[in-house]
Amino acid sequence: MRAIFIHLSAILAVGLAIYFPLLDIILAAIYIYVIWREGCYCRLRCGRITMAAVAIIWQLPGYLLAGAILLSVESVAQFSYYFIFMLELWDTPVLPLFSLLPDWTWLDRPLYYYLLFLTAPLLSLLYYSPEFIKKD
Amino acid sequence: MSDAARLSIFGLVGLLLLLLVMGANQHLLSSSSGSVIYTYVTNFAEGEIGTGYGSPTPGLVPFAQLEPGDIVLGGWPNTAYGRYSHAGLYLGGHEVLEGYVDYGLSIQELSTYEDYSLVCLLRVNAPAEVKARAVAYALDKEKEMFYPLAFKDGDRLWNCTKIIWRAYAEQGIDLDEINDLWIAPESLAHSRWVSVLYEKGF
Repeated sequence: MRAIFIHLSAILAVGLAIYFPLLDIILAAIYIYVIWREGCYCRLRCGRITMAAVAIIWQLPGYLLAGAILLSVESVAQFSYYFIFMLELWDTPVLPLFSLLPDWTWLDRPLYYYLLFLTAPLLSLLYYSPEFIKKD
Repeated sequence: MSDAARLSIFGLVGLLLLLLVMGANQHLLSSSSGSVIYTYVTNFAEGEIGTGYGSPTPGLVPFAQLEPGDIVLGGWPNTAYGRYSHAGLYLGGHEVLEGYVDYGLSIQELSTYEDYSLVCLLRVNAPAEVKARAVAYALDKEKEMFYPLAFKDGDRLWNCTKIIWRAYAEQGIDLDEINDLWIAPESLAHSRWVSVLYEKGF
């Protein structure tokens, strides 16, 4: 629940910080640090399995939206046209960092488009990464 | 950073930024402002939530009237943020520069606008060399990142109207009459700098 709350409030904060160019980048960098520290916090209190479950569950909306788009589930209803917008909004806390990347394209799609789909697994991995550090 | 600080930092910063943004844009909160926020909230209350959608309604649109630097608007009946959902900058050669999540700022075929149930062609009333510079500015941003809620400031995140507004603002032509937070496609049609060449669906 902590990670989900942090993520939802970061969507608001980083989204509004776009109004003040550069502040969005600073907040996005802080977000990365905060999530990593949350992983450390969880590691002290939870077992490996629980931590892995939390790492996936707090990014579940990102996984579901990305999966729905990749599996073309979005074509079943007109409303699902919005899935790609919802995925981009879900990824808002890290988007300012994507905007710093070169505007490379592959198959006519920009690099950031592919990163939208990788964000959920990468954030899960970031959250889980303290588990890779040896416990004292 | 303490456990409590991590939990609350983005909520508090978000609240502070919300107050700052609202304070700097109080003029947009009234019903008479015509702002995109007011329009969206009003339409959202009636169940319209986004870009709208509908069945393609093919029809001959007189695209031949366009000249490079003109603006093309397309829309569906249930768009939440105004009459039109999308905008493109005409480049010439039956191509427009527009913004999509999946392609970023990209060059697309003008003919895609034929399917919209609402179409509007706008002439920007500026000298041809000014319009050519606006087109060149927009083309220079091709492949940059699309974000639907990109505010007007900054040059890393774009949406379909911001690139058009900025391309002309750089030439000294402000297409945003009410100094809005975001520019709805419909508001481009209300600029003193443009005239309507054609409308479909009315």
